[in-house]
Amino acid sequence: MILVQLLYNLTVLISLSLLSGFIDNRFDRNKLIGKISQGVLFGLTVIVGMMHPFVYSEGVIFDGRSILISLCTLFFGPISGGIAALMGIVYRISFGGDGIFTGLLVIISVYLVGFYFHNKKKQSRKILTTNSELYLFGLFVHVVVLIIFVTLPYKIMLETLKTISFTFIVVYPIASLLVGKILIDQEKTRNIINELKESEQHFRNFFDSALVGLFRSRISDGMLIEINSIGAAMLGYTPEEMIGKVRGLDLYSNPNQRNKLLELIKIEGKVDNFEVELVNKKGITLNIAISIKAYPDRDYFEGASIDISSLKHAQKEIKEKQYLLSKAQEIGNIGTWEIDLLENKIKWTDENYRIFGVEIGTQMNYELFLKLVYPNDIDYVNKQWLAAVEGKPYDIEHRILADGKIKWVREKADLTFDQNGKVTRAIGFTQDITKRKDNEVELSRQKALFEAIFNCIPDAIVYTNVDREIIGVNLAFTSIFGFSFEDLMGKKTSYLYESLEEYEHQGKTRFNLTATEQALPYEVKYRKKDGSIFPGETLGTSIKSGDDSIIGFIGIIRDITERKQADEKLKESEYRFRKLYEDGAIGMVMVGKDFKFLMANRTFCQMVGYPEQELQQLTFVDITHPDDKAKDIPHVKKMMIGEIDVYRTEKRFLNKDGQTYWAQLTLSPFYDLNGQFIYNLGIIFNITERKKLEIERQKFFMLAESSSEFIGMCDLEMNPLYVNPAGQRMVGLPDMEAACRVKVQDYYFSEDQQFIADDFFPRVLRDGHGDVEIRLRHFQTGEAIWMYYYLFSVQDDSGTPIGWATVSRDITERRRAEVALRKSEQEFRDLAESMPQIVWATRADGWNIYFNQQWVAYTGMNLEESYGHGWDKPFHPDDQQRARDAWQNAVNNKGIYSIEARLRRFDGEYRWWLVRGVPQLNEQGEILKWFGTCTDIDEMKQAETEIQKLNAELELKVEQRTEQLEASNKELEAFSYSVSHDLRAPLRHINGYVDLLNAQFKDELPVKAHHYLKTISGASSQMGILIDELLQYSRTGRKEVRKTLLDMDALLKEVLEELKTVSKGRKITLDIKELPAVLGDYNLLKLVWANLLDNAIKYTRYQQTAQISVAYKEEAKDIVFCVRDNGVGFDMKYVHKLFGVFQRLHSQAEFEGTGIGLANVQRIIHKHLGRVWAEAEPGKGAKFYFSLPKIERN
Amino acid sequence: MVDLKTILLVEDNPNDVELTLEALLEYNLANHVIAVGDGVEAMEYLRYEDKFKNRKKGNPAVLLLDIKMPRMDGIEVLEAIRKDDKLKTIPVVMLTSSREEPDLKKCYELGVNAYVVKPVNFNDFIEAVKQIGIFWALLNEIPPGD
Repeated sequence: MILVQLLYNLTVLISLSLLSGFIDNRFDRNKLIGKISQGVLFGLTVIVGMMHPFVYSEGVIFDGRSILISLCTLFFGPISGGIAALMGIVYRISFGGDGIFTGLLVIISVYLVGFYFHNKKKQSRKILTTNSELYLFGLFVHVVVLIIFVTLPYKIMLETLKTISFTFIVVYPIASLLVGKILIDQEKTRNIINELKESEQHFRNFFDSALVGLFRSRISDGMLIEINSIGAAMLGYTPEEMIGKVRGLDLYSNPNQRNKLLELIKIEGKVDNFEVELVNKKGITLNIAISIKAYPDRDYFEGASIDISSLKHAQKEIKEKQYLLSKAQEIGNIGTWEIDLLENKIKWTDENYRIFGVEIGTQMNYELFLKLVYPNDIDYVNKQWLAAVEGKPYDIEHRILADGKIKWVREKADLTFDQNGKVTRAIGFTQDITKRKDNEVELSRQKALFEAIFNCIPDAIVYTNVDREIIGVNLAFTSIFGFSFEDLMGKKTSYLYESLEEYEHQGKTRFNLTATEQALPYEVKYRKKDGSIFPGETLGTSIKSGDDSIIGFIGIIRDITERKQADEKLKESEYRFRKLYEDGAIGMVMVGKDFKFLMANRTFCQMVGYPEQELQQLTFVDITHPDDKAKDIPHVKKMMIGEIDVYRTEKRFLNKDGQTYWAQLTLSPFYDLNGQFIYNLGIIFNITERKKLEIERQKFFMLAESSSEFIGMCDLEMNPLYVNPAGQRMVGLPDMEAACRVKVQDYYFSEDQQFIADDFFPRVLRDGHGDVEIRLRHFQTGEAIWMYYYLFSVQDDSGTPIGWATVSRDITERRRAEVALRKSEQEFRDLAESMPQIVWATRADGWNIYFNQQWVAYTGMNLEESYGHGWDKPFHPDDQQRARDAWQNAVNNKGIYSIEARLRRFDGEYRWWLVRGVPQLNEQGEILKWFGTCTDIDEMKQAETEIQKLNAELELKVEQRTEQLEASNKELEAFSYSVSHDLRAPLRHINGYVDLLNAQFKDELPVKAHHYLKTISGASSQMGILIDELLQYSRTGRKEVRKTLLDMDALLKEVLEELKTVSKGRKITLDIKELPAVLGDYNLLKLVWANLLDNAIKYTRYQQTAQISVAYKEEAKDIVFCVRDNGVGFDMKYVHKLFGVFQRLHSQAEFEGTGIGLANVQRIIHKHLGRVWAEAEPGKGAKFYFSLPKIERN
Repeated sequence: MVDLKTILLVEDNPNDVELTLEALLEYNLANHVIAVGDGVEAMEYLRYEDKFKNRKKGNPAVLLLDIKMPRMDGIEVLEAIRKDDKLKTIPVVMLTSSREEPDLKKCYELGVNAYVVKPVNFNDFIEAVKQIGIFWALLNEIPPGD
């Protein structure tokens, strides 16, 4: 019974627990409503439990209130527990009974116990969570309750204790444990949920406020499920714009990158800090670093993203800046370095490495650095550095050894000190100053050099600042002026001059800021320390700085006292010489190496008409006469190299007017101490006048010498003084000497000598001159030389005769020609008179000057009538105009005059004459005369007329014949045309109908009829062939031969090819030679070969082996072709019939054929102007020949 | 069955007409042959004149022309056809007894479509005519517009 009740209680407890959990889920127990709700629930349960208690006796009841209230308070706190306890108390009071006090006490005490442990639990959640703890809690509660039972009336107490102790000690704690457990579980669950909620909230806060982009997307379709605002903003979106709308995979600008990413995720399941390029909303590509983890089982990726675009950009910028810095250092030869003194490490930039010649990247320290310093500088550098570490500035220049080369570097450092004032690190730079150093060294070297030179120069040198205050003088200056440098310090240059005026005049005007650079030396008077004055040749210039501004002046002064004195003396002697030189009668010049006039005196200038200045622009060559250059220049050149000492010549100059100027020139070269040529001194005399006379004389002499006339002179005793070469030649004397050895008389024939000596010469002496035609005698051959002899007397200046001179011409030829002409004239006349023709001559204008007797005899005109312009009178009136035209034509063309014309005979009859004239031309091609003949051609003319008449008749006949022939040809053509059409048609019909008969009535006809039909058909076929061949023959006759160059071999080949059907089944040996080309008609000659070869094949039909050969041989004008066979041949008796039409030497039965073939061959060959023939013997074969003309080579 | 067009045979010799028809019999071509005796009749036929006034319209598929004929010979007919805009496209085959160079030249100058020498041997003749008939009446595509 008790057990049932207990179970009942337990059931209630468990139901309670579940309800409590149910409430707890809806009303937070930490809130008042939850607390009240729990309290009410527990209170109600307590009441329910108390309504069905385990009634021990009236008023003494036991129920689960102790469990419920204790646990309620424990788990839900004092408020809930209080409510439950209060409800239990109220109910218990209403219930009343003996145990009321104890009942209330129990309620209160369990409440207090619960409250106590509730507080404990608050402090540490770990308390009262395990089963044993719960159990002990239950045990403790109920031990307390049992103790309270003591308050029951003793009797009841003992009974009660006896009855319920077991329940209270064993069952109730277990029940507490049970219910507590449920509540704990609920609590735990709730705590977990709360924690979860809390953590989710945290996560959400984190998610939303994270500084990195966070996102989640589905694996299956790539769609973004979540993204925080940073993540979205990174790409220019809001989360709402992206979630569920954007596929993460679409954001990648580079598909390869995306694929790689996906692959990595596939393999690894995640990626970390993978850099990708994504496109933002605006289409701009961003650099994003993402980390992704995949959850394939849940179908999503989770990831974080950081925009590293700016980072990237910054990185790039840094890189660029570093590059720029490095470049700048490289360009400026400046390297920077950093030393960490604590670690003894030196960091160098690339340029620093380069300066030191150390491989870039080598780890450096101080010791290594010292090793690179030039050995002599190591101590210095080390000392300086140690000092720097002590706090002194570090800025040094020293040498280093870089790649074995010595370089100068400047190093400067900035040191960093720690709190204790110790140097920890230093940053510095290294600058390559090798070039500067080199320059400095060079500069100091030059300075030393300059000073040495400065002091060595014998001239005084002074230099000043821009205010002309003396800054320095050289040694020479102090010795010349007597001043020491100390004397002059701070003094102005004016101090040095003779007077202030001199300074004003010289110094101030020249040594000033605006003076242009002064190069020419000038003379200034100076005062020495001792007061003496001296002339100083001064050269001065301003000193300019690099920017072209004047920073001072320098003056160089030479004491020229002695030189001045010497110059004075020289001037005097020079004046004297100059006078002589300029105005003497002799031209004098100095000619330099390049033939330039260095100097020319007035006399020479006058000679050539150039002023000296102009002359100095010219060369010796310029004014030398062109004809003399070739002579002069080589000589002068020889003098220049010392081969000739003096050159004397007579030569021509050209003066300014272009006139020739004769001079005698003496040139002597001058050399310097080394023997080098300096100039030529030339002395020139005027010899123009003398030369003129000489030339005049020479001219006359030349005239006489080169004259072709006899020129001679003799004295009064007639002794020859001069005979010119022409004269010597004429009379056969070898030279002048020989000519002068003989007397003048001896030049003449002895019979003339008296006339000459006694008559002619004295007469000329008297008259002054005279002439005669007389013979001279050739001294060698004795021949006579006819001379036109002109003689004149020669007188001296006073008019006294001193001899004779002659200028005579050889006229032998003329005299000979005159004789010959007379003779030939006579011969011409004799010839003209003896000729049967009329002979005539006219002047160029047609004026008749000669006719022979035949003219007179024929025309009956006497010579007087005939001479002059009457030549055309005898011409037939119809021929006169023609004759005049022909004449005019001949005159115009200067050609032959020729005309056939009728001339009137003395008796009035006209006869035909051929009149011909030939012009005689002079050397200029002008007509001098005409010579002509007239030939009687009357009979010839008549014969000609006769021939013409006959010819005309003949032509007429030929024409008629040709017409007849053409007509007959046409008829023949028409005939063969008809034959071809009209004869063929019936044959065709015969054939046709026979065939039709055969085809349609074959079976009805008797055998014999078949035979007849066959015969008819055969005969008509044969006739068809005959007609065809006849037609061909006729066509061949009519056909025009069209000749081309034919390759006979090819032609023959073609023919043989076509004959293959004929020779089928036959055994034939062909022997065909290579044939020459010919000119012929392709088709016709093909027909020839076809006929001949076809015949050869046909007529060898009965031979076992047919032998056919083709050969040729060349004759003088022809090529002969031959076709030979070993066939049946023929009897030569019938050879004349062989080429006839329809002529056959064999029966149709023996060899079929029409007898047209060879006729055709003959016709074709004849048309080619060839021949055709045959040779044969019966049974021994046949040879057919044909010839064709050879191709002419040209 | 192909719609066969007419073959116009112009031939003065009745024997030749008969033989030609005989040759064309084999392909049933003979039924489509109109034979006229000379050039004048041929032109009348082609131009629907005189007794051909009411003939069925249309040009023949081919004209087989003999050369040597009375009144108007074959070459004259050919010339007249080629000058006539309505007729000039008709194919013309000269079917003649012999091969005379001047005739051949003249015909080709006038634009003949074929020039056939009638073989003496009847079998050859039949063969030739048959070929002509087959080619021009059966195989040849006639010019458009006829």
